[in-house]
Amino acid sequence: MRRVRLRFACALFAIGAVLHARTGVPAEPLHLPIVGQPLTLTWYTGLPPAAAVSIRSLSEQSAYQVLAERTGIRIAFTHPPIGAEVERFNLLAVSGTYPDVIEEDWKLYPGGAEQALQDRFIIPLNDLIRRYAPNFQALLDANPDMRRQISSDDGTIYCFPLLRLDPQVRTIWGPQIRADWLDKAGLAVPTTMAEWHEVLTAFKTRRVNGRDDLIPYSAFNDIGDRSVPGLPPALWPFLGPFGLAPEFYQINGKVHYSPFEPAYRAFLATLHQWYAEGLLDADFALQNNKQFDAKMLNNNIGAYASFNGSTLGRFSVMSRSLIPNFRLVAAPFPAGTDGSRHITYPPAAQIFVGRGAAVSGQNAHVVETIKYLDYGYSREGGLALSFGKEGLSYTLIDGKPRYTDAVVRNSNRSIVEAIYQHARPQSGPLVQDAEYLTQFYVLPAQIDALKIWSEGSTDLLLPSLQIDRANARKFAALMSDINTYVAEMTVKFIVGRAALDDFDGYRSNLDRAGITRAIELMQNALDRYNAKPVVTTQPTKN
Amino acid sequence: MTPTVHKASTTRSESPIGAVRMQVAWGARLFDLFNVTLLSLLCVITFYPFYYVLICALSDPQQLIAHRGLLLWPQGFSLDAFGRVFDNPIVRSGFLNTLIIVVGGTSLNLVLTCFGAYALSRRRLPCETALMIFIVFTLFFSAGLVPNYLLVRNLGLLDSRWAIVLPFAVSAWNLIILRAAFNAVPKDFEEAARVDGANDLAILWHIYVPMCMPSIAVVGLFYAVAHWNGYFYSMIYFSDRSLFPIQLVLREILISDNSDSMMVGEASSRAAIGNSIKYATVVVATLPILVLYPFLQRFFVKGMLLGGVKE
Repeated sequence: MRRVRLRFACALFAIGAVLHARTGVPAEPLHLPIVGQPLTLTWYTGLPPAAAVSIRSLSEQSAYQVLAERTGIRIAFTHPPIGAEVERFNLLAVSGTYPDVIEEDWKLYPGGAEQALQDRFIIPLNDLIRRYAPNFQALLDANPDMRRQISSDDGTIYCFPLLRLDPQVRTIWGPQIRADWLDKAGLAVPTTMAEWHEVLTAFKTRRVNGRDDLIPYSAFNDIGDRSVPGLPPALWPFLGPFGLAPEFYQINGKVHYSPFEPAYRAFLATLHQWYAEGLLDADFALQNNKQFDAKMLNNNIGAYASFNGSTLGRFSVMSRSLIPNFRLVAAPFPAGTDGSRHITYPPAAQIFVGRGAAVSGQNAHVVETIKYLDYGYSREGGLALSFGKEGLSYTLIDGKPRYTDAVVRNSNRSIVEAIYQHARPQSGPLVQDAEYLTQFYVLPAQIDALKIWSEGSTDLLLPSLQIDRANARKFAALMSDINTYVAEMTVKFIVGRAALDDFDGYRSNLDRAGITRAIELMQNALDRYNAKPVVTTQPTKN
Repeated sequence: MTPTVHKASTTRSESPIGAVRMQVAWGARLFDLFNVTLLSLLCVITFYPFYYVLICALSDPQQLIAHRGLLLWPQGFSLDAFGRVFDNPIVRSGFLNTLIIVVGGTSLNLVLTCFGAYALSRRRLPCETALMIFIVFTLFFSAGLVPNYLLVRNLGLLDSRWAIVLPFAVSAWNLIILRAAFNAVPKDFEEAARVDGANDLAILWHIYVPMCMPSIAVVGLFYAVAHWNGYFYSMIYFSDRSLFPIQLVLREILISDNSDSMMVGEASSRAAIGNSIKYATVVVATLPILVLYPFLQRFFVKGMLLGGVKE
């Protein structure tokens, strides 16, 4: 016990010394190696499933071996079993002994990151970053939005996050359509609601798959994916033309809730029409991805919306032996009658999705840890984390990193598995590199999709917001009832079991259920987000 | 269905006595028919999931995904998934770990449970009732996950096989079963042995263990099956992947790409095999105990009966 306290005191002293040396002191440039004596830091994080097929710990990755050589710091990773991350994270928090670095989704910590800071589970980093993390500081200075997204309400930065700064790495989701069917119907990729209607109708009436079981547009719910009551993700792109976005969204800083908007009625009317005309899959509301996969590979489905890799890429490859001429391409998010085009996939606006590496309150080598983490945001460090070891897993061609054949033409592993044997481009504390994504997507249609889906504005989308702690429970209670009702009614309106004339009644029911209060709370969260201090000084804690 | 049976039985009834007898037979037959149908149906319902997993594992991955409706036989044939499963180093080490835990853990369980049951079945044991209450108490109440975790951590057992053997060395339920079995052995044997100069250890080893073998076998089975199936506590205490037992490996594989979204299933010729790997892993992880079960069941029935009746 005394030893623990002593160690804790040491850590506090280190922090204190650091805090003392703040304000006005210029950032130290990074000198490699970071430490003279070899140092090992302990690091808790989940092992990505794609890595688990080839390695037992991330320290086996070429990336971490390269970093150890350069910095002198080795990482001893502790990984919870896959699928037990939440339990193990909670146990770690109550256990009272913490590793040096904790990398997790900070929304998982009971009470969020602010509570974790208060519990001294992790420490605030603002001044440490300013003093010892020149690379990260440069990113912060260049991106005010990034600072808002990664900091808590009072401006405290608590982790080194996975950063999705390049818009390309965020446009990984969107509408997809069978190009071979479009050719048969003699039509181009649809870009507006009217064109979508024309294309889907043509698919249906001309029986482009040669059978009667054609489903022009389908949708599914992926387990573990973000869900919106009553609306499977594949229907989200059609919200945009009506000036809506899934659930809560904003118009110039004012929060709206789409199922409560008058425009939602027009959206529902369109979908109801499609449903009545047999253009929309009758199972759209309840279908899981397995059932969807079966229909897709049975040559039933003409269009839907989902991920670039797990659907566009996967179906293109899987269909090769099953469906001749199968060709799937990305379609842009449909434009409204006024020509405006909105990207209605909420993560497209999120630079920070919640995951990040934080420094624990028991870390006795805070400065070295900060320098080490900061190195990951430098050009060389980022290359190592995203691409591994030069000569082994990547080579620089004209200054651009290319994965070697050992990675992209590995006959035993899929490309994601092969990459994770060497590097962690989509999950670590680093800036996600678009260079990796364009190699990760191996088909031309996938590369095209990156561009097609980035057309449009993300103005409607909200950043990841947190309801203030005093009202979080109230908000959850309100939304639990509202979600159930909205889900039920949305489906009823679309399939026609409720008449659209009842829409006003539905709205007043939502009003009675307290939707205005929920919107208010969300507005509050957005206001606090927009008011976040973007100055670089440490907020004073009481 | 019923009218035909009825018809068949009436044509055969010739004399009044025969009629009565046949009527009884008719009822019994109807019962049999019903029984056989119902039980066959139950068999099919219970058997189908096993069969389903097996044929899915053997199917061609792409044809399997494209298949809709009830699956009755393999869609194409492919052993790729099994190849991938055995290719995974953690599956191999998982089997070894499970074997060590099942053999080592069960041995320890049996030794300690026998000692405990012997002591608790002695009349000269002071405060016997109080001790039993303590033990029975644990059947209904436990401290919960966090205190257990803290205890194991403070004992320094995290990432050690002892963590999933020691805290479960004696199960209260099995102890009670075995104590009941020991209690049923007449005390004359013990007294006779004591006259011959045997100490407690010798009495336990030479008298109680041989006489209660069926009960010990069944208790051993309970322990062994629990060790085989156990994954939860390894999931809580282990971070070192080389220690994972096979069931935890299985759980990881089953769970890992459920939420694929952008993370997995990327374009490659291997894209479709993910599901088949899951099925193949289930087969591989279940088959050994499945094969063993019919042979062990004999002991199960016998041992439980003895334990139950004599209590």
